Amino acid sequence: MIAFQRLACAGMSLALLAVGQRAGAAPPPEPQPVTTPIHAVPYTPEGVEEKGLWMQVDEVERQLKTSPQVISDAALNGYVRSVLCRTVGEQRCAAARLYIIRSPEANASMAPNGMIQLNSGMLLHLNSEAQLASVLGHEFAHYEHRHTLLYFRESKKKNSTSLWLAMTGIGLIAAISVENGLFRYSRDMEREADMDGLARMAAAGYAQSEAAAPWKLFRAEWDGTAAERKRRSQTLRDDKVTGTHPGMAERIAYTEAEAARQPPGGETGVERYQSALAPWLPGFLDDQVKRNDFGASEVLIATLTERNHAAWLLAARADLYRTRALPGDLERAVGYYSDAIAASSDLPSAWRGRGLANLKLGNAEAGKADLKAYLARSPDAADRAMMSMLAGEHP
Amino acid sequence: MKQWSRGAVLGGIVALCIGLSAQPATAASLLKEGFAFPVDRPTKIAVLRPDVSVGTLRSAGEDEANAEWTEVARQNITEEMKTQASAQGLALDFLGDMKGADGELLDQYRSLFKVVSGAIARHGFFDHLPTKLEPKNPAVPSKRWRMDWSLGPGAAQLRALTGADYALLLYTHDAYGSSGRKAAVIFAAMWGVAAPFGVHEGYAGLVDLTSGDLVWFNTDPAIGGDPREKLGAAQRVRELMAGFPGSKPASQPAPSAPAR
Repeated sequence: MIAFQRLACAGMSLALLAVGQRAGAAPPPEPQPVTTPIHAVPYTPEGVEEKGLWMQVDEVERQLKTSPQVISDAALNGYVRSVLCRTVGEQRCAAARLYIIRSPEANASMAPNGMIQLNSGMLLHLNSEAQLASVLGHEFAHYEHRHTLLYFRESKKKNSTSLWLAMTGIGLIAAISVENGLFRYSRDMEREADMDGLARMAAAGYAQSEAAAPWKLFRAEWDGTAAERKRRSQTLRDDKVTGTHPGMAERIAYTEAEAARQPPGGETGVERYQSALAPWLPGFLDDQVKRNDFGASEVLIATLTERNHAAWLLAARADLYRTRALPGDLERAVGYYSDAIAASSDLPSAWRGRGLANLKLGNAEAGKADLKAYLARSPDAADRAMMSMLAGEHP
Repeated sequence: MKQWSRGAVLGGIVALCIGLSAQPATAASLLKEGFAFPVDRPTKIAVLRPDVSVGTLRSAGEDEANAEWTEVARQNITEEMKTQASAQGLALDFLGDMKGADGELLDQYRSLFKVVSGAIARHGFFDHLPTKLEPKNPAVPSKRWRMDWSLGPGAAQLRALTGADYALLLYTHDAYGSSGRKAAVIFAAMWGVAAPFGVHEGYAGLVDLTSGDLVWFNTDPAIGGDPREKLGAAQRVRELMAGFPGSKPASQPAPSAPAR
């Protein structure tokens, strides 16, 4: 019932990924997904409900415009926008306003008024332009199918029904199944957005075979988190009656089935994606390392390293071990920092990290020397005062 | 006994379904001790974009925004604020949206103002913080709490940005019960659950842009006046602005206030 309340109040935007937390009974057989009509884009809101929803998200967007969390870099925004426009069509993409948010949570969302929010954590988890196209295609589908409005209508209908059923006392059991129907409705819409996104990326010439990789990475990270925290993995309770999104296993299955039907020759755009994101990835990964989720971060870093043996990945792995600081971690961190320093002369943060790790290990002189080297290499360091104190430059 | 407990459980479920909001005790507005507008120079107050929303409360508590009502209410409230301020000799400057670093600064302080307002609405009216309890005073034997909240001295940046001495923020939210809501509330009462027919809440706060201190704050979880109409908006603004520094002690509801 709590979840029911929350749903009743929410419904502002549909997220691509919802990390569920409630365990549920075995799901009933899924009925055929709803198919909702596509509306001509751009359109203006119609009726009291839709105008009200737009007004609310317009207020959110008004504040988002001046939020320091939004990445305003023209090159990055231009690149992501070009992928959106290629995927959904030049004319349609004019209806969408894109906001790239600096947040490590791997997520994206579409508001009913055309405001797309794409988190930096999602960009960190993608590997190719085709994967970005599938995410943006999914979000755009929510807009042109007016999913938020449909969900809001359905939630009013179902919540009212279950309220009256609950008030009869005896109808309470039926009320719970009505409520579960609302979650099913949400999953249907997400499935529809997935299929739409796949169709759009194929029409734009992208390889659908790319689309399942992020889902697989998320599953691997969930397992990594669970192993580190000695818990049951979320992959085992991902497919729930109260899930707002289809389970990852199901999403992977139908995505791969679609991809198998696509004739070969689709474009992946790995190089273009990697070169557009190159200046950003170290910072985005640093945000992830700071989430204190060692298991997931380690899986992610291992995956990124398979693609690219870059020195900054060694430094990120070193940061991960240094900040966990279990017995043996600091020694390993010093080793990774040293590898990073050997591999690149342009990584001041590796000197900083090795200095801090050495200080914690009791290697005071080596640590101070590393911190001095860090300060010499980054004249504009924001943490200069603190680091120079640790380096013994101030009495 | 068995009968009672089943009823209580069902009542609890109905309460969860229909959506309850706690009703804090109403009190007069809070004024920082000793505060008064300076008399030697004109006072300029910057008004941050008022947070206005009007809609419908659906049966299970879904709050459905209504863009048309909200637009009318926003205009009515804005006009009424100007009228009432000029009657008191105060100059209000309604700030528009700003861009770039200025917009970011304004937005940051508006967000902070909203968060602090939430704290005052709770701890100034509903429950009190022991840290704000005034020492015992034989002259005033009743318990008293300090009006002691601040956005910090950084708020002076807003003074530089707007040229105003004070900043005013106003929030009102209305959700009028649909007929389904009204029926549901009556039926819920049979299970012993009291739920509101609608939502009519608001607050207003004033910040001194030199110190960043909140100098005046008022809130009402069951405020009167229908802001969709001119007369109602006048009542709404009057009730929200009750006790505003320098105004007459106007905490009595206006004679035209409808019974709720």
